[in-house]
Amino acid sequence: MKKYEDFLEGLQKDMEIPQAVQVKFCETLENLPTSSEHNTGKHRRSGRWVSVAAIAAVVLVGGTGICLTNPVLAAKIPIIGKIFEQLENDVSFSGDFKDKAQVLTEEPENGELSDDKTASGQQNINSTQLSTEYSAEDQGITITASEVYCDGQSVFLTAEIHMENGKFNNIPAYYTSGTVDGESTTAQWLYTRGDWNLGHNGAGGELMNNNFEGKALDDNTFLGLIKIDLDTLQETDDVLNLNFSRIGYDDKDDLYSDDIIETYKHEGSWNLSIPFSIDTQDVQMIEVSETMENGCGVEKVFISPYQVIVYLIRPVISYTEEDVRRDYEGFIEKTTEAGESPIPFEDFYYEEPKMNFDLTAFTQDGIKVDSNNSNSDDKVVLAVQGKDISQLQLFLANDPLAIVSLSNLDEVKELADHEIVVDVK
Amino acid sequence: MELLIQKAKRHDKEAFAILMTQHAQSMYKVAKAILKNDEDVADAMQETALTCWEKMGTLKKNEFFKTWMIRILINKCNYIYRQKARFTSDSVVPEVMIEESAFANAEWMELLEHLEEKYRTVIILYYVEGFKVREIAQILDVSESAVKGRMTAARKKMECFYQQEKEWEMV
Repeated sequence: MKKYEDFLEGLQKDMEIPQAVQVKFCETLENLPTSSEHNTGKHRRSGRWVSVAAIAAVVLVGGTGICLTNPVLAAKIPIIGKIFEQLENDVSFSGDFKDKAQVLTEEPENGELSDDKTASGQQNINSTQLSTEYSAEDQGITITASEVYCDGQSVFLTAEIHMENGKFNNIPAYYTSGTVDGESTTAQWLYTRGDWNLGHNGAGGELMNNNFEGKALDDNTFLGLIKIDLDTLQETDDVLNLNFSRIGYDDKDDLYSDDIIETYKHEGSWNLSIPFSIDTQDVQMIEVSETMENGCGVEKVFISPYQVIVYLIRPVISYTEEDVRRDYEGFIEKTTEAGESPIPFEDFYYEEPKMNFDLTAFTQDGIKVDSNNSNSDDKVVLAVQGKDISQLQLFLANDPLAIVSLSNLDEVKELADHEIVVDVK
Repeated sequence: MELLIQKAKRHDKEAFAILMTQHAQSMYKVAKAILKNDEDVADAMQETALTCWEKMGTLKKNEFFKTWMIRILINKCNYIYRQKARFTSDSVVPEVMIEESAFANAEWMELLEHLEEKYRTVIILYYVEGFKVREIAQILDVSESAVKGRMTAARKKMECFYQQEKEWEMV
């Protein structure tokens, strides 16, 4: 092998991964942590080398087990109007909703929906309305809204979704990062498509990553919580109009299909108008306006009983015309040398990127507050999950991946570039 | 792979495990280009799997999964490399002696080791993993011109090395 091409050819051949590397990698995949395990750091670099090469199948969380082991669900006592009670420990944004949520529809003891006035909490709204106003039926699927809560940033709505032969028991369950009695919490998902808007405010958007997170009551009935994030802080009561155009879900026996869309999808039209009031008592927006030397930092923090939203300050990386031109000329020189056709100058820098940094949060007790998938470029959304938060310790690092995966407070303190302490009243 | 990514983003452990296993070969090659011994490579792959698992939800475009994952891997490798450099005087004996992989004796790997790490990584990403220059720039967080420059320099260094080897053989 005396030529560069031979060298490259050699590189491209498959190589055998040493057994020890393979085993450690597989062991890691078999023992992926839940978020709570991550908090303890017990899965971090064990440094342990094992000699067994067997690769056991990873565990798929069974969806049906949840239903069979939940005596409340198995007994089929009235559910609608009390769905938060069934889901509030298991969903990603867990917490005690029962004293804060407004009941929209309540199922009486005989199991039939009626227009009786609701008999629950003091925040019940418009209890003279028929419960059926919060229900929509199409294509054999009925969505009945149960309770609603709004902290000003998000509307949390529970609903029962009913469909004969829905095969809901076969929906796979996913870990939701919490624990109850030492067991990792799980939930199943119904995916939705459509759009939403606010009746008075006019704001709205598409239903993209808004899913009903919950559990199957049986093959025909699903109890779910959908969270709609509002674009701006909502300060007045309003009506949430939800227009579902598709309901879909996976089948755990069909996880390896080449089709990227859900196993079952039902197109239709389900329109709900949900009045909600704003919880102004239990929420606060705290101005922070603190940055690191590079200008990255935290503008403000919003805290409600169920979520923490950290608003980020991310300066735009700006280049002078001279910088861009110099870099472009260097690039052209190199690409020409490599025999490639040059790209136009206007395509060279096609966007103004914002500076990235890493942020992670801990409570006053050193417990990590987990981030949620609904993060956007300018904010980080954290799930409270029942934690008592009187103070937030926010850690910032210039390296965008330096600390986010760490759960040990001391380790994070060592690696972070900046710390912000936010007192919560 | 798209479905696996979708499911992994929903924290489906099985889908995630399959996804990562599919990329194990690529991960090993890239990590081996930066780190010398297999124990460090295994650590880097483990850390990468854990970080990807935790951060899957932040992956905005599924088609960039591999780019995103390799970038995390390289960051992990660099971190381990720096840690090793810092504690190089420590005489830590691993619990089990690691048998270096068979390919360690392969001539091409030996030749690759003549390159500095920054050149090795670019060569592996471009020629072995098939990433485009723009993707490599994103992975390494450098400009595209820097990637091109490194590739050119790597090629020249290799040519120089071959030439030297040829001259030595003639002596």
